[in-house]
Amino acid sequence: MYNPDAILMGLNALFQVHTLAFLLIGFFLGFFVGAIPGFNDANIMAILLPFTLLLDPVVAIVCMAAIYSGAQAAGAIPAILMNIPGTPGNAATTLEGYALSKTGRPGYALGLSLGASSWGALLGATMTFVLAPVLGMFALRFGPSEMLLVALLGLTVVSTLAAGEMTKGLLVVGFGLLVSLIGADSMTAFPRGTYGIPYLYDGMPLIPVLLGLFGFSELLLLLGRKKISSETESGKDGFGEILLGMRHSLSQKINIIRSSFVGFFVGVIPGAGATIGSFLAYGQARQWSRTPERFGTGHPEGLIATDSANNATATGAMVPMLTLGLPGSASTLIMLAALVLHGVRPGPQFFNNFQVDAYTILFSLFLASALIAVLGVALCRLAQRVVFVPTAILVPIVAVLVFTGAFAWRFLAFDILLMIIFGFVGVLLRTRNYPVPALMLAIILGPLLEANYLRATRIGGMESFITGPINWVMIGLIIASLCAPLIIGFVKRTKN
Amino acid sequence: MSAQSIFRALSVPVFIAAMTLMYWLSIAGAPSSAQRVPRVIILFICVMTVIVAVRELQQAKADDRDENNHETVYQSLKNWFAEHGQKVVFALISVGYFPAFVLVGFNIANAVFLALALPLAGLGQRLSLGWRVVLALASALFSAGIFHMIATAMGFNVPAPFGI
Repeated sequence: MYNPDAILMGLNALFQVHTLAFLLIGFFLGFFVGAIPGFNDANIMAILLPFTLLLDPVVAIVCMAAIYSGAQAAGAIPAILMNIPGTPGNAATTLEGYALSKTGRPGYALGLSLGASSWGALLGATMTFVLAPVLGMFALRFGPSEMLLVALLGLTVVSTLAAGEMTKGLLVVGFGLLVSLIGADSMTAFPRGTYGIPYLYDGMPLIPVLLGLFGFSELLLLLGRKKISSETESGKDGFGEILLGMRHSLSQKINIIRSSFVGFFVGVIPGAGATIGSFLAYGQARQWSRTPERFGTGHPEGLIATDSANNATATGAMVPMLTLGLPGSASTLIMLAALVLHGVRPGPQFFNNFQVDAYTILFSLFLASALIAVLGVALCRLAQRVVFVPTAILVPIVAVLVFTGAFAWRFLAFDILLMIIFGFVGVLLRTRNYPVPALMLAIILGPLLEANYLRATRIGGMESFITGPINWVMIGLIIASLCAPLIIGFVKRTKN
Repeated sequence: MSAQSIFRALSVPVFIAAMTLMYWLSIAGAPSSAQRVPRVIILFICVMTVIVAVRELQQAKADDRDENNHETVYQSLKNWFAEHGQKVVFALISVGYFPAFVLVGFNIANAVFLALALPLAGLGQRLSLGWRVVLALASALFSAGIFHMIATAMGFNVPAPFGI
């Protein structure tokens, strides 16, 4: 299974000048794009795809994997500084990252994020390297019923943690699921909830909704404030704070390992996505934490959990793509397309037929994790000053960026209006203390939930949800996540 | 319990209930397979809406007792607009961006939006009106130029009906 010659040849192929150059270019592009709200890695990868045909297949994939890694890490920057996730996977980063940034420590928050992202990517790359040849079969065991339960688990976790009131979280999750089902029904093509608007026929576009709920709503709430952070700039920025954050992230070894583990295995499941992984990691970090009451106020443990999981998910998503030919996201779909166009067939025989190429790609993930720490520090040094920029300049400029990002998803002007509408919804929910991340996750998972429910009931009936060890574990976790807040509340009241 | 408290407590549950009703009406004639999952979710939303509404009203009643707030609805609205007027105007400008984007194109819409939004957000607050206008226009045109370059570099197919 592990061929030492192929491993060495893969390492040699990676450390060629042109391979390293394209890895660096890809990482910079991904980092730049990921840091801008609304501009995501799938866009830039799609634009570069035709150009990669001129490259060696492995160099093309190394470049794309670097874009993917860079974007996942950099997506935390706007999430921390402005409460606007750079990618959907960074929605959970806003829970603690933005709160910490508002206390006047944006550099520290960015440092924590960089450290966690780097370690998460490294651990994810290690697990991919060791387990990829065998993990493909694990991913295949996730059928429709298992996928439905994974989605339900993600929703129950997020509804119990973000607002402190489970009933509000569950209400918002229900609403999000309904919103996600707007569009043509997959079985009968009946337009549900579209009211004749053709642009909704394909369902809710994710990026405009994300930008509206997090980005535009935040801009509306920022108006009237002088700056994002009410603290003065007094030595709480600069390399020192970023490096301090990175050092402190190392003190959370168990949290990083646990969260990376969760993120990696969620990433291995085709279609699960970084968003579920980071929320699940956040939930488990809160449950294991000695100070769970501090979550939501800028707790470093929460930020470390979400960002290490997010980046481990990105590497985990490579496993089904390479070993099964199953892309889990738009980004891995484009990577798959690049491979196929070059005549490299991912699938169960990938590690046998393309050993050297496989190991080159895997080793590039290690290098990308190091780049997150090294280059990320320099780039974040500039970025962290955003919280001290007067909102008089920041809000209108970022608003135009958000409008452009919403348009750029499908090149439809209608998406700008949709983004604004969801911005108003976001303001309403946030001012009344309802959890916006729960709504976002429900909108992302709704189509997955419905499709897998219909498939599972057609194949095995309702009994398919309670058969098999994976389903039992998932049901147990769902019950635990629903009961945990009630039990914790009861224990606290008893102690008091 | 004051009307303001009831509104604050019920705004979100009523909004979600109204949206759910609209969705339910839209699937009234759908085949049963298309209604299967939405019906379950709608039922779930109905149950949770009632639970949340009751809890919010109880909380609002308790808060009302503590605050002893006797403002009239008109006074509350007036105070709200005084506090949030800037946000309301910004929201209206943003809504206006959409038809402007379609009618006059990306670049002109950006320039106009920024020319209005920058002074509204507080740019040049301490300057005289004339200088404030000059600063707003200059900043708007400069920023719109930068956005034009980004859109060109990224290959966005932005509308430009007048060639600008």
